[in-house]
Formats: sequence, structure tokens, C-alpha cells
Amino acid sequence: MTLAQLRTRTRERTDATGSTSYYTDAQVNGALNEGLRFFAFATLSVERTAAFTYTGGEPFVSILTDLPDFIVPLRVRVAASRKRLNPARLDEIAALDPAWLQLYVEQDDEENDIAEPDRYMLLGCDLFGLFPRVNDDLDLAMTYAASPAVLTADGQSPEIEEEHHLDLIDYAIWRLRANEGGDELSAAADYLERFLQAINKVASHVRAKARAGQYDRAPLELELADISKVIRARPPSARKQPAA
Amino acid sequence: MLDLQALVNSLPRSLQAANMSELEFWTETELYQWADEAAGRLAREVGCFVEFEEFPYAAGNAVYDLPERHLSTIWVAAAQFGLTPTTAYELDCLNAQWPNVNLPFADRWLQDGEGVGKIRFYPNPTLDGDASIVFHRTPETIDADNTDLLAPLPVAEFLSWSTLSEARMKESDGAMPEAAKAFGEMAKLWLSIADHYWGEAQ
Repeated sequence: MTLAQLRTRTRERTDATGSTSYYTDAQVNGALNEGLRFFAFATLSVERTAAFTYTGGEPFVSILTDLPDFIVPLRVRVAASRKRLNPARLDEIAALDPAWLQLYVEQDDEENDIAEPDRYMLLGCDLFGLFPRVNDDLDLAMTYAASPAVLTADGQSPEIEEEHHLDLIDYAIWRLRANEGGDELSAAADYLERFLQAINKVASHVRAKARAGQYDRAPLELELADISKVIRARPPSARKQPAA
Repeated sequence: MLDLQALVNSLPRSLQAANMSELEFWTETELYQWADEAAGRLAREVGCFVEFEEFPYAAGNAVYDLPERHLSTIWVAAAQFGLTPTTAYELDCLNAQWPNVNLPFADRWLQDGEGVGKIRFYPNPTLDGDASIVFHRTPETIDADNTDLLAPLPVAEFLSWSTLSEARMKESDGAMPEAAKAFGEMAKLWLSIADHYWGEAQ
């Protein structure tokens, strides 16, 4: 489905079509894009492989500066040799060798790298390091979970499986109604529930795929308790009254 | 790079206003403040902003200021050798005269006993050198003059939901406690996911 189709379907369900549209195009597009980005974030279902040049001599580099849509690494290889690097935490590296900052990959007499790093670290969301350190720039092939492209043109389609495009409409309806609060918000809770259940289902598929592909990261299994808290955020008037 | 100006400018539509100037119960400054508070919460609860810095240390001086916006220390090295974290109590047990112990290189670091925002090396180094520190930090204050945030793009959702939650919680005719709760719960759900990707466990 295209952005224009998603927008129309959203409006059909919120009873705000044609010239009487209650929501502007920008509002509906914003809600759809928000849902799309959260869907990709929670499921890690948008995957890309990109060349990433690690600056030689630096203990750490910023990954978001080069790959602004980066969320988490899934697989990191040295581009030339295809050697796969293992993920590690800084405390593991420090335990392995407290002098790791001094430790560079082996070099020949002319100071050309002849060995390659074995491990990589991601500290927080951006700081990326290699162990052992490299003296020269090193090209990596980075497979990573990415944020999808923002939907701006009417003919553009969301960068997720087509079967989940309808889930974006569910989110958009909840999001637009949430601005109004009260019964409008309450009535849209089922749309949010369906959206979050779709996320859980896709995340489960991605986890299975990550295990099979031995990826370094997998999406979180959202606990039902987490989801029910979000859905139960309704006004008191919307709660079921006990039978008389 | 997140464009927070675009993010904040999109929020009036969620607050029943066509643009910033038509906001009735809130101001642009408040929206930026709430976005800034949310970014601080993200830094504190998930620890997703991590930085590496180096600074010189001088022989005979064991106490130094921590970097600006420092939240917590992850790892410290002196002369490119990793130091062991310790406490003043442990050093007291080791040697009551520990503040007077001098050696060419430090092998431990501590943050207690010197007040907030200070780091101390033990033993007191007698040679000059460079120290390295990896630490969690808070982002620079977000306001109308500082609207860039180096963070993954999905952080936009967390900042939007948190800001809208605060706006709808504010005592005014625009208050909507149920909407505040809904946005707040979405922000909490987002944080639990972010913690899995970028938090302590990593």
C-alpha cells in the first residue's frame, strides 16, 4: 500500500473523509510514520548491509555519524576478508587485557596491518570500537537493524512487509484519537492492542530468524504485562461497570 | 542526527493547535523543556549516551574533574592501562596512609571522598601521563537554540510521547490525564525496548 492509500484507509476508519477531513494530511502522515518507525524499532525487521569505514588509530568511533538510520548491529564483517567479528562488552575486553588500548593488530615491518580485529563493541547507542585496535582505516561490512525511510511522497510504500501495512493504520488511528483523550482515546484502545500484538508476532519471527542466522542481536520479547499497561491506560468512564 | 526543531514543531498538532503560536495552554519553551527532561531520563535510565574522553594528568596530582555532563563511569585507564575501580573504604582497609602513597603509575580509581564530580587515582602518580575515561553522559540541554541530538531516529517517538504526556498532565484546561497516562505508558514501553538494545546489559 502507498502512503496515500494508508492515509485514505485511516480517514475512512476515523470518519473524517473528503472535504470534511478532521485531520490534516500532515497529521495522518505523521501518525503513520511514527507507527512505522516504532514497528521497525520494536521488531528489528528492517535490515540493511552497508559499508562502514573504521577510522584507524581511534579507540572508538561514532556509528550514527556515518549510518544515521542505525539501531543495532546484527552482523559485522571485515569487508575484504569476510571475517566475522564477535560482539563483546567493554568489561569483557578489559578483563581479557587491561592494556587493550595499547594493543593493535599485528603489523609488518612497514607498519601495514597483517592481522585483523576479532571483536567489536557497541557502547550505548553510538560508540563503536574494535579489539584489537587498528592503525589504518578498515572497511567493514555492517549488517544492522535500521529505521525505515520516512514516508513523504504519496506513492511511497512503507519499508515493511505488505501484510503489516494495515497495522500502521491501527497505530495511526490510536495516535490521532489519543490527542483527543476521553472516550475517543478509549474507543481506539483496541486498535493499539492489535498493533502491539502484531509487533509481538513479527518480533517472534525475527527472533527465530536471528537465532537461525546467528545474528548478534534480536528484538525484545514484549511481556504481556507491558502491553496490557499501555492498553489499560483508559479513562475511568471507559471501564466496564459491574452488572446491577 | 535527530532534528528536534522539527519534532517540537510537530507537537502543537497533537495539542489541538495548528502551530506553535496557536498553543493555548502551553508554550514552546515548555515543550523544549519536557523534551530535554525526557532526553535526560533516557540517558539516566538506559545509559544510551556513552562517550570516550582523554585528559592529561600531572605528577603529584591525583584528583581531577570528571567530564561535563558525566553521569557514571564505565571504565578508566591511565597511561593506556585499565585501572580497577575501588572505594575510599577499601583503601582505608588496605593502608590507612593511602592518600600519601606515591608510585609512578596509578592502578585504581575512585569517585568517593572527594565530592561530586571528581575522580581520584591511587596511588598518586609521580609521572605525567594521559588518562582515558569511558562514561555515561547526559546530552546537551535541548532548547530552541540547540536542536540537534546525535541519537537513533526512533528516539523521536520517545521524546514525542514523553513531551505530550507532560503537556497533558500539566494543570490547565488542556489537561487530559488519560491521554497523559497513555502517552506515558507508551514511553515506558519504548524505554524497556531501548534498555534491551543499548542499556547496561550491552
